[in-house]
Amino acid sequence: MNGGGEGVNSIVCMKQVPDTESIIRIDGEGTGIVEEGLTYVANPYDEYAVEEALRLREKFGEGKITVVTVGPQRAEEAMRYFFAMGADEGVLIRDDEPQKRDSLSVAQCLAEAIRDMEYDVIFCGKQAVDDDSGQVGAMLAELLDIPQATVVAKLEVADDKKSAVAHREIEGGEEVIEIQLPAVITAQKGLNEPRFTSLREIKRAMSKPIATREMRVPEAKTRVVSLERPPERPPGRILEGEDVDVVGELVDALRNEAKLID
Amino acid sequence: MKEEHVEENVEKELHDALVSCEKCHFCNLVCPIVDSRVTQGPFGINRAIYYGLKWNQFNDTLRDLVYSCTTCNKCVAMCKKVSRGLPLVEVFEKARELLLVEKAKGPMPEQAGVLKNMHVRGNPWGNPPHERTKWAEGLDVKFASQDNKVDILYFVGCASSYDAQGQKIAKNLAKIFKRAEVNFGILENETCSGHEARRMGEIDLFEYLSEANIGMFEEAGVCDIVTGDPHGFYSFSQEYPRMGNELRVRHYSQFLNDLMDEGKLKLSSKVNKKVTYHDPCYLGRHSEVFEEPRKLIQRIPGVTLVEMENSRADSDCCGMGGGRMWMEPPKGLVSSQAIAEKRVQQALATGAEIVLTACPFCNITLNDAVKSLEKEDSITVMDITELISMSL
Repeated sequence: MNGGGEGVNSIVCMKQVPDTESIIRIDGEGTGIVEEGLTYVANPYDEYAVEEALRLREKFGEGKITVVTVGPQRAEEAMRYFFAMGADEGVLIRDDEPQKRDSLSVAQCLAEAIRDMEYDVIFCGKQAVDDDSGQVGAMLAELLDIPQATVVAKLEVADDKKSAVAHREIEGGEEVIEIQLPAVITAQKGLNEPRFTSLREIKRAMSKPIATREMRVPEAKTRVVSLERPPERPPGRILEGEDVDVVGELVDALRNEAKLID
Repeated sequence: MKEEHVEENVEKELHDALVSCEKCHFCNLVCPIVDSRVTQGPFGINRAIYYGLKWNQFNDTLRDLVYSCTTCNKCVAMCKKVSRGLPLVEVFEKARELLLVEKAKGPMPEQAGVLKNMHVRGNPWGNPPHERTKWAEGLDVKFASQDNKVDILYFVGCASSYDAQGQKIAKNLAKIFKRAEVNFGILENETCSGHEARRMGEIDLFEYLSEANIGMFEEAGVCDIVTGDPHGFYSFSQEYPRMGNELRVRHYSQFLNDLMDEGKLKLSSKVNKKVTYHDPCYLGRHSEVFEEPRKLIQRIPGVTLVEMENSRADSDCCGMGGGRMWMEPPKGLVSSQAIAEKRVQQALATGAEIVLTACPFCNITLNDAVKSLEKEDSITVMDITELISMSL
């Protein structure tokens, strides 16, 4: 639903994910991960999403930014980080078994929560860095029956807020599309440089409101059958000897062992 | 309302310090970042902050100037000597705090990710926290805890935990401690000391990290700490809040001398080298530990120590302090490489084969400068622990 009025209203969909440098341990059943001991952060692509919403508001002078997430209570922490950056309020769709969901069930929850809200743009990260599915943004647009531009690296919203020009990263090039608003935009790295947030700002943002919504999370239609760790990378090899002497050996190894050059 | 009150206090504190400046400009004479512009150096930064406060103008130009200081403290020493002893470095750090916490103007853009890494992963480079103690694998180093009581807690620090050159310091120290039969250990979940976060003005992150470390010190029941990182050393001894137990903190240059005095550590092999010593700013000027490193070096059989033109309290900065390790100053301001190269030139002038230091950051920086000057054949940068280890 279009926000109308002078300002610009944005919704930012956020997922709290394990920090990419955490040790990921597969659980006993081999279909999920052990959550204990993990450090959680806001999905990095969602940071580009919220930053773009903030910049859009700066351009139009006013507007509300609402962060929506599906997840357990701990997801509030990541939401507070976005509040510290400048978002106004949050909706936490409480789900205590996030590992049992798939992209569609999450998108359905988001759609139900967002349907009655006022917005000009919905921003999502292009994918979450935990399961890398990259489907929620696209599904959300379909469920809300609004247009979408995915993997956006540059966005220009028209002054009348009725349309936007989105630069999409595509294989080997760039696609520039015009899109009607409201729409779903999924953020690619490079869309902007997210602003710095101090710890003081995070503390100050503690008073911003989070509405917790209980809803029946739809049944997942996909099921994780098994999870496996990537194979250990074989150790590197250091060629010993004087610089000039080992060049031949290196070229030979690159050509015949690694097959990186012809 | 309360927050505004805090902000006013910081601004007033800054203003009061700045108006007391006698404007003698002598600070500029010793500053490593002074080049040809009046705006540079401690006096320029001082005035920039003064006018920023006066006209309520906190822009990127002011930020660049305030963040250009290496916090080497040489200006403060000069001001104490000839004028009213204005704590310029503290003033600049306070100004950074004001810019970062209240004005959303700090840190430098490249430092933003560094501070986030310190917060989320406990180290400036964002390396995995679980790899912090990897350097100790196979070295039989124990983790200090209530069940595993140690006499000495070795606080490794970020650089010696993750950086390849820095790790040499940790490995050599572990070897030296073992040889002297010191009952020592490290923290299994050690995190960043927070020193550099404070330098960059992120005071709350400093507090967060200091609380985390103090919590671990208390939990492991340690009150005697030895470190090879002068930055951590300075923060532990001068900036950390008081613990329940009094914390004794020593840099290894002090501790190893103590071990030798007690007859627990003996150096036998001759190391016939002519060396010079670079005083790290946070060990030297900031903590006034000048003699112990020199005494330690002179206890290594065969070593000849020569001094550089500027040494002890007059020592020059390596250029990477004050958060500059993670930023490149904007065009027109003196580059960190230029500062480090100047210092290496001084070391080269002594004719020493080795320039010794006692800080992993100085080690990295000076080593890079030796390479950029293409002087690898003339001089080698080493930590004192490396030479000691050769002499065991």
